[in-house]
Amino acid sequence: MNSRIKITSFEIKQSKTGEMVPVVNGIHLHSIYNPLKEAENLFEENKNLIEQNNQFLVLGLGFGYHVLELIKRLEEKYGNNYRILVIEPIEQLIEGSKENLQSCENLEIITGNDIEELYNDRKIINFLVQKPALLAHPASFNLSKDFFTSLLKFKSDNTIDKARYLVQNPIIKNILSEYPHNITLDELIENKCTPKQAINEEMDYIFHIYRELSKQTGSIEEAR
Amino acid sequence: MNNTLIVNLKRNGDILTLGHMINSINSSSNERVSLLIFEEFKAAARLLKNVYKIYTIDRKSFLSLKKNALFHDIYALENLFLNLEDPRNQRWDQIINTSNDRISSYVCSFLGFSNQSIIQGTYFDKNNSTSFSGKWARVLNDVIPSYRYTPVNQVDCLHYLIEQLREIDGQKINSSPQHNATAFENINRIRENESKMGNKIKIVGIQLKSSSKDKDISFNTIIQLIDMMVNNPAYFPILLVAPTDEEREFGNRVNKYFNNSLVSVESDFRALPSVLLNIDLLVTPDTVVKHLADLLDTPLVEVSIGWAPFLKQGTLNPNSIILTEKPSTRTFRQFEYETTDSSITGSDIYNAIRCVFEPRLDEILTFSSHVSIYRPKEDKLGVYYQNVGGEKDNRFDLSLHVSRYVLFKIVIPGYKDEVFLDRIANNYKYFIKEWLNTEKGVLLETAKTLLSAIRYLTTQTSENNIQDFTYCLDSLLEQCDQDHLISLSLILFRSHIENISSSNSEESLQKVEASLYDLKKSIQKVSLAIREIEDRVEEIRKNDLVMGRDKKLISESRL
Repeated sequence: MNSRIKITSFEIKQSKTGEMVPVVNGIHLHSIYNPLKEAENLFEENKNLIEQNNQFLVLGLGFGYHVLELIKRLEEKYGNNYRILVIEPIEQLIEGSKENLQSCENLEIITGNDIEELYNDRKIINFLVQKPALLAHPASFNLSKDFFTSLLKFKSDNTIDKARYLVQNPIIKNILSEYPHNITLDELIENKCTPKQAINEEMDYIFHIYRELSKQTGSIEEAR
Repeated sequence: MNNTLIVNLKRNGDILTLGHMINSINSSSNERVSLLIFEEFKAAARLLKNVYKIYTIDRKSFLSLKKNALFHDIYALENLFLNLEDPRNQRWDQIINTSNDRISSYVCSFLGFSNQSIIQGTYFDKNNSTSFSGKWARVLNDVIPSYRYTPVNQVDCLHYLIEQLREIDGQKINSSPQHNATAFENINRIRENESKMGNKIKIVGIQLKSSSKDKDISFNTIIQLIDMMVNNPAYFPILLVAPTDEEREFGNRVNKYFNNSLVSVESDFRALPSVLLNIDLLVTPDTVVKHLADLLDTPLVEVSIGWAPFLKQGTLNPNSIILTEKPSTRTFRQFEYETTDSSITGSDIYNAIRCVFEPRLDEILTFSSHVSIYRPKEDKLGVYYQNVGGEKDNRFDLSLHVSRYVLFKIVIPGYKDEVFLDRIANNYKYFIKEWLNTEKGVLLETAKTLLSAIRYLTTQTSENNIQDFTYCLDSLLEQCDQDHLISLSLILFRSHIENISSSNSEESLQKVEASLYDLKKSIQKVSLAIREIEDRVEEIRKNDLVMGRDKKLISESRL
């Protein structure tokens, strides 16, 4: 799935306070007056997010003033214990943001237009599983609205065919090769786990564990 | 050195209570014990001493990957496999399934598959049928969760499961030396300050919240309790708060009521043992903190509220007290439970605290109407619970003790315990007869139904016979939830027939028939147990008559 944005114009202007501001298709991605102050204001409106989360998925990069502010606030609150992943479909913005976002080991910037490919990326999957807080950079989000909306509404193709492509573990890969490519993983498992079907091999137990665990909800936690 | 893996896919409290079993295994054999739990409970598991390695299944990540449409399901499967790959690559001499659920049973089967490890507890065999390592596995999985009068404490049952004596001595919890020093310093400072004012104090920690609202001690009760404590210079209450917003807020509310004059201690799992080691007593609802205090030998007052099975995981410390509404008025099945205000008042908890420090007060102090206090006692079978004060609940207590005797009679071949018989007969001699007659009546009806079931099954000559057999079987199974003595046999029977699997109907019927004959033997054991109790009661009553001690017999012969 490709939601590439068509770029008709790309220019860089200088804000009143001297920072570089990208303007894409006529849209200013940061305040032309004071991008740093604008970034501060963004987090003043989202104070609770930082109080409660040390992992952030940021939609839209611009030239990274908001990311810089986020780093500053997370470091204040969590020291080095935080992570940020930024997704930005417009590659040209990456270069321009580098000056603001010098190497930061807790920050990862991902670019690309192919949403399906993004969800094939283990790094992104592993990060999203941690349930990071979501922060949309308003100007970037509006500029690439179709892309980000598709990103958030994406539904994975759960076929065995796709699974074979994604899976890394050789044992699982080998098992999947025995099944028709167009059925879903759940269909495969329901087929393997009929109540009185004998266990033929060790991995059959894994399918049963998977099936039973899938029935659970997230509610067995306790404070103490 | 043998490798043992204990699997427990339950919550913090259940994981912590494994500390007793791990301690017993460690004290008696050369075993290296590892754990497999859900990742979210690792902090609790880390507290357990003598655990070689903790393996985890990241349930939260699994569910995120599985339930979220963004991700392909294969990621969930692959993550699950990766979680289990490490323990799968180990050679386990023994795998102990300590949770009664399907997931843990499949996990045990998976991990024991290649090495043919011995699995204790439940697992799935190669026919995908639930298998039990023995009768105690059935007791753990079927009797304890469903029978009203917990006949055996879960910790003891786990020991029976692996044929291990429970070792009481031994350190069961890791505590941090640094936290120990800090807790000692801070709590000792309170003692010294009070001592300067001439007060020799007992420091009582109050655990404010549990994991369920149904089990919580109410705000008003806590306030009443603290109010009484602060007016007695012998007691110094401190509030124990977990690092969560909800508990902090509740703690602040309580403290505000006392003009913020109370000491409040916030501690995470790592620091909590150090706090519990330095206080004199813990007051708590049924929480993980209770289990932790038990493992640290810190006495406690357990305030038992809610539907969770009474005494199933009760405190094991003989110096502790369990405070409950009269048990016969409580329901222990969640679907029957309705939230109501507990009759247990702050004054009851306060009196229970006094009893812990002065056991002679057990029968002297008065408690609210319909409130009873129990203490754990030990005999050679393990822990049992004795009503020591408050309102007597003879029918409940009788059921509790006799069902314990009957269960051991059913499960242990040739079991007979003269001391146990004496205790039952002596304690309940005035009213046991009528109660036993009722139980015998139920037993007789059950035996008749059973014999009919066997007859209909073995002479399946007509459609009517099959219908009659089904009717008899249903009648037997209905008795499982009636909480009679015979229900113990029937629950074990149900456990057998629910897990019969065969694609061959002839073979299935043979298995059902075998289960019915096993049930017959089990009923005979219940009958024998009842007879032994009756005989012992008769002996004691005769003896009393001879000694002239039976004048009250007629007037007190009813419950």
